[in-house]
Order: sequence, then C-alpha cells, then structure tokens
Amino acid sequence: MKKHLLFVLSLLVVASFVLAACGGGAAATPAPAETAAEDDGGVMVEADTADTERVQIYWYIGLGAGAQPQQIPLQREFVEKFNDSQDRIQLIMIVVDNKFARDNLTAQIAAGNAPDIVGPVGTEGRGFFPGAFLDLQPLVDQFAYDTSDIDPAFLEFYKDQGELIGLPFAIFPSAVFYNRALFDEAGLAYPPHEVGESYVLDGQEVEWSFDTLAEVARRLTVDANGNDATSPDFDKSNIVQYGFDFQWTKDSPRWFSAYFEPFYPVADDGTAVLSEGQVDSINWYYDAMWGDQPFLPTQAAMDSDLISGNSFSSGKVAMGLTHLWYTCCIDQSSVPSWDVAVVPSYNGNTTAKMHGDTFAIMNTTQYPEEAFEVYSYMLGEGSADLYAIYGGLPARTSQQTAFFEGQAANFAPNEVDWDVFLKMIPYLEVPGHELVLPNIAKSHDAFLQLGSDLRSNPDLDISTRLEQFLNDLTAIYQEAE
Amino acid sequence: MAEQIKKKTGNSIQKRETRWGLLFLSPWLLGFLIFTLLPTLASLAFSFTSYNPIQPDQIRFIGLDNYARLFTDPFFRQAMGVTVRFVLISIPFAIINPLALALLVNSPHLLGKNFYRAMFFLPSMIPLVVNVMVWRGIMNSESGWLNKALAYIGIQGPNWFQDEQWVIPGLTIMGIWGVGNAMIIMLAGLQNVPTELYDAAKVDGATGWQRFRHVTLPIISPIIFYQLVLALIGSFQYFTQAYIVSNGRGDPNGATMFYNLYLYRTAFNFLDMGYGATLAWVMFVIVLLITIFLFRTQQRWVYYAGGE
Repeated sequence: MKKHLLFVLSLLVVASFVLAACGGGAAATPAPAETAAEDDGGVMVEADTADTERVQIYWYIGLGAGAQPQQIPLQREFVEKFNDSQDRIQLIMIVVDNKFARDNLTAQIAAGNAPDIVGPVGTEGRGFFPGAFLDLQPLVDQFAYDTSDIDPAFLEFYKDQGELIGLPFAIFPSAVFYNRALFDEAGLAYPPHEVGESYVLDGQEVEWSFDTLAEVARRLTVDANGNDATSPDFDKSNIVQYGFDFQWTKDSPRWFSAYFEPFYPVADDGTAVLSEGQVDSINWYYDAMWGDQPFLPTQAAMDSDLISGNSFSSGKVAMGLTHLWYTCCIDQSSVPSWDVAVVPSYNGNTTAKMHGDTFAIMNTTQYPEEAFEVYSYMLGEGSADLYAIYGGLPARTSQQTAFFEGQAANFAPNEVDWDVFLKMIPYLEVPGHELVLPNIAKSHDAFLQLGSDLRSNPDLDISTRLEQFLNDLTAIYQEAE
Repeated sequence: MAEQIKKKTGNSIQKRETRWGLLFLSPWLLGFLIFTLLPTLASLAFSFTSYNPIQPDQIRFIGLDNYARLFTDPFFRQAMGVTVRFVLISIPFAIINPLALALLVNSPHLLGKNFYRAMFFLPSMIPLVVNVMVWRGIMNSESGWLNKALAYIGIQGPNWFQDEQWVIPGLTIMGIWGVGNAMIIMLAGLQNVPTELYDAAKVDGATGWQRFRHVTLPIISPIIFYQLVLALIGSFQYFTQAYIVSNGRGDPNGATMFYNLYLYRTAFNFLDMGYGATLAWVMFVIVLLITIFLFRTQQRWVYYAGGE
C-alpha cells in the first residue's frame, strides 16, 4: 500500500513539474490583447540601476496602448535612447497589462507613489482620473514650447475642464478595413474611398450608408453550406464567415453609436438621454447579430475558435469598422490583401469618430520641469520612434507623410490607401464619444453592461432594455451630484 | 538549595528557548502584523469613512452610513442572491463529486486505481485562470466540444456563459474539474475506515448500500464536515472564475455578479473603498455566523470516534 502511495505521489510531483513547464510555455505565447508584463499582476518596472545623480522620472504605460508584447522592447529602446541623450534625467518605464492598469494606477496614487508621466492614453482613460493630471499650459509658456503646426482644434480636443492636460500627440481616425479576397470571392465591388462616392451594388449606384453596408455584409456572410445570409437556405446557426464587425469598438454602445450620430447622453436637467440616431444604431447593431439575416458576430462567435477575439484579422470577417490603431493587430498571413474605405453615412451624414492619444503629467510629480523635458522629447525629437510603436497618426501635420511611408513599408507588398484616414479627419465627431460623463466609472460600466447584453441575449426587448438602461444611468448620474 | 538552582537554571533555559523561538518566528509574526492584521484593522476603520483612494485627503468619517446603505443598495441584494444561489447549487456537488470519485478510486474492483487517482487529481494542479480559459473554450456555444458532443446525441446545448439561466450551472460544471484535492482527502478518510466494521456488517447481512450508509458515512463524517466548511467559505469567496467569465462585470446581465466581484468593483473600479470595506466585513460576519452554525450542528451528525 505504502509503495503504491509513494508511486502515486511521485507521479503527481512529476506531473506537477510537467504542468508547470507547460503552463510557462503557454503563457509565453502572447495573444493580441495580452502583454509580456506577466510577472506580478501584469506589472513590469524597468530600471537597470537607480542613478542617484539623476532625477528619476517614472513613465507609466498600459492605460492605453503600449503593453502589447511586441511594443515593450521598442519602448525599452526608446527609454535607453533618451537616457543616453542627456545626463540629468533617468527615465524608467513601468509597463502594466491594460486589463489591470486602471486598478494598478489607482493603487499607486492611493499609496502616494504615483508615476510622473502616464501614457499613451486616450480621453476616456484620462477621464477615470479626474483632477489627477497637471495643466501643461504654464509649462508650455515657461519653455516657449512650439505648437504652431498643431491644428488649434486638436489643442481644444485635448483640454479637460479648460485645462490642457495633454498636448496633441497621435490621432487615430476611423475607416472601414476590408478584406479584398472575400469581396472578390463574392463578386462584390470594393467600398468607396471618397466621402460622398456611391457604391455600385447589382449595377446600381447607391449611397454608401449603413443600410448599404448591411446589405453588402449579408452577402458576405456565409454558412457552412456556402449560402450567404440573403439566401432562403441560409443556416444562421452555422456561420463560417461574417460580413462586418465593429472591430474592438463595440463593447460600449456609446462607441459604435458615434458612427451613426455623435451625442452626449446627458440632458440639460442632468438625466440620461439617448438620441434617435443612437437608438437607431443600437437597433441596427442588434438586428445585425440576432435578426433573420445576421452578419455581425455575437459574443459567443467572438469567443469561438473561428474568430478568437480578433474578427477582421481572423480572415473570417470581411469588413471591420475601427480606428487607425488597428494596424497594430492585423495578421497578414490570414488577411494578406486588405485596404480601407470611408465610414458609411447615416441619414446622409458621415461621422468618423476619432481617438486622440497623448501623454499626461501627474499633478503629484515632484519634478514637473524634468517631466516636461521628457514630455517634450516624447512629442518632439523622439516622437518618430513612438509613432512607429503605437501606429498613431502624428497630430503635427509636418510629420504625417513620414508616418504613412513607414506604414506602407510595414505592410508591403499589400497596398493600402492611407489617404482615406486623412480624408476622415474633417468628419471628426462633435461631441466626442469619450467626453467624460458624470460618475464616469459607473456610467461607463452601465454602457458596457448594455453592450454585453446586446451581444449575448437573443431575446432582448430593446425598447424595454433601453428604458431600464436610461433609468439606471440617470440614477448613476444623480449619485454624483 | 540544589533544587532552587535547578529551578532557576530551568527557568533561564525556558526563557532563552522562548526568546529564540520568538526570534525565529519573528519574520512570520512581523509579516502577519504588517500584511494581514494591520490591513484588516485598516479596512474596518475604512468602513466608517468615505475613503476614495484617488483622493485620500478628502476622507471623511461617516459613522454607520455605509452599513445603512446596505439596506437600500439593490446591487448588494442582487450580489448576495447570486452568491447564495451558487452556494446552494455548488455545495452539494463539492461534497458528492469528490466522495463519489474517492469511492470509485478506492474500490477493490477498479483496475489501474493509481492511474485514475492521478488523472482525477491532475486538473487541480492547473492554475485557476488557465482552467477557466480552457473551460471557456470547452463550453463555447459555437465551437466548444461540450455542445458539439451534446449535438451529436441530438441535444441543443445552451449558450453556457451568455445565458443568465445557464451561467451558474456552467460555472458549477467548470468547478468539477478541480475536485482533486477534496477527492484525496475523502480517499484518506475512506482508507481509515476500519475493515473490521465492514466485516461485522457483512456478517450481520448488511448490503453494500447499508454498509455505506451505516458504516462508511458515519466514520468519514468529520471529513465531510471539514469539506463542507471549506466549500462553504470557498463558495462565498467565489471570484476569479466569475471575474474572467463575466469580463469583470457580472455578465450576462448581472447573473454572475457574485458578492466578491461586486465588492471588488465597488472598491477598485468605482473607488468607493469605504463601502467596499463595509461589504468585506459584512461577508466576513455572514460566513462566520454560518460556520458557527455548522459547528453547532455537528453534534447531531458528525461522528468522532475518540469523542470531540
């Protein structure tokens, strides 16, 4: 008996080593949304040795882009380059997995151990830390920082409550990414590259609107028997190819509805309200997943082996409406031939929502001048390196051509009409979809829960659900008063 | 005199040993004090305040307001409801499954017993997060093999993690994989049942079920009691699996808004640390009361051969 027990125990010990080894291997294969910062809650602090002769500036990465495994070594090179360029400041980067970054930064602030610089981070990410960032205007004035080739509209875009908490760094306009091969296979024309240009469907010129996009997407959605979604024989329980997705812009209905109609969901009396366009977009989206002719992946489809969380890049989704930052994550072996088209219109209007990322200096920094010196380097001399890392279109017009040349080289021999992104800039949404809401953490969460319901529940009564949502959201707003 | 000297020497040796003992224990004692006791007491203090970790300078003493808020907070009731529902569904599984497996791998009729013991135990060695990721794949309604297997026998599998009705049973099924530890403990209990009791029961003409009911169960009842207490505490503290499956939001539609997940969101997502601390202490008190209740009931159904 004893012998047997020993044998089992030995077997278990050996198995545990094997499993541990396998576990390590699995973790080392990064998924797109994961980071290499896997040591302790996804946090990685990098400093070779603390240089006591220099002022140490901590740069916190992860609230927005920057925690992808492929980005970390490039950021490390950037830090080394900066540290070698002068002898007064030591820049130290802290990389935190995006999933944990908000909580982690909260803990650091609570512990009185906040970093000096945070970013890149978007408006929404900054909105979770109201009052935590330094107004840069006094430093801009003190150092006579040149903002002459930045569009004044962009400077306004980066203001929070009248304070300049970030200088324009990178912008990410939207466009429809489309898979040429799937269009060719279906015998459909490619979507237009000019705003106002018609789409040719069945020999007819039609407006490139969300209705047209839906029709095209249905024809691009195919079941296992090869029937498209418009066919009477279409089996919607066995879809092997989808026509369209709001690529990583659908978690919150506030995000995708901005393509239909920009609207700030707070009424003058402080209650929650949705515009007609937003309600239309929610109905459109829901029908696209659960209607008779679905063409957009549900949550279960997103989690399935077919798509595995990255729809357009899976090669099984013909179109993805998203931002320029998505160039980070297209698997060229699955989608070797892709291009971008303009955002479709809604009620005759085109709205291309935009993300604007930048860096912010925390108002708890002990070294604001040194932090601004690093900041100036990030947005000036070192910016080309950072644009390449984050895939962001430079806010300074003088740097945009070089950026697109770099992107073209990255994706060669596939040719992409990068001008489409520039053409979308004038259609920037106002008000922005990331404009901070009252009680932002909870109100943002309420939108995310609505989005989750839409993606998961095939039996939702949309009008009842929206009524409940607006009641909840009003209560959340009022909680903050 | 000699006795006094002996006594003094004995005292000094005892004192010296105590000093050395404390010295060797001091890392643990300090660790416990700094990393467990003080934060625990701090959380109790926070529960009477409006503490927001981003604005620590604006902390205010608000007395019992956080505790009063529990009575009007619908999300508290929802989270408690989800947790109690899960406890009621999962606890029987947490006792019956490992016991059934232990009986199986203890059976003299099973060939390759050691192999099965190792196989049933192995999944519990897998880190929890990996376990959840694997099961998310297995139970995916479109590409998971569980639904494919059900389809093979003509059953339309549910949308496990997207359906409010099925997500808790889904999580319970997921938990079955991790019964290895409990199975090993149950197995140890079964192997401690004196064989002469079975022999005596056989002589008296007891059937297999009667032997299990009247011999095995009473003898292993302390083990079952131990497992019950652990499972109860574990179920009330359920978090990681729900956090991953529900994207940290209690999806779908709050069906996985477990108490600890709500606590975490309140404290760390919504930065309402004072109320979060209150929720933590309420959970502590609830689990403590249930555990005390269980201990009280053990006189009625737990058999200790050597007395309590």
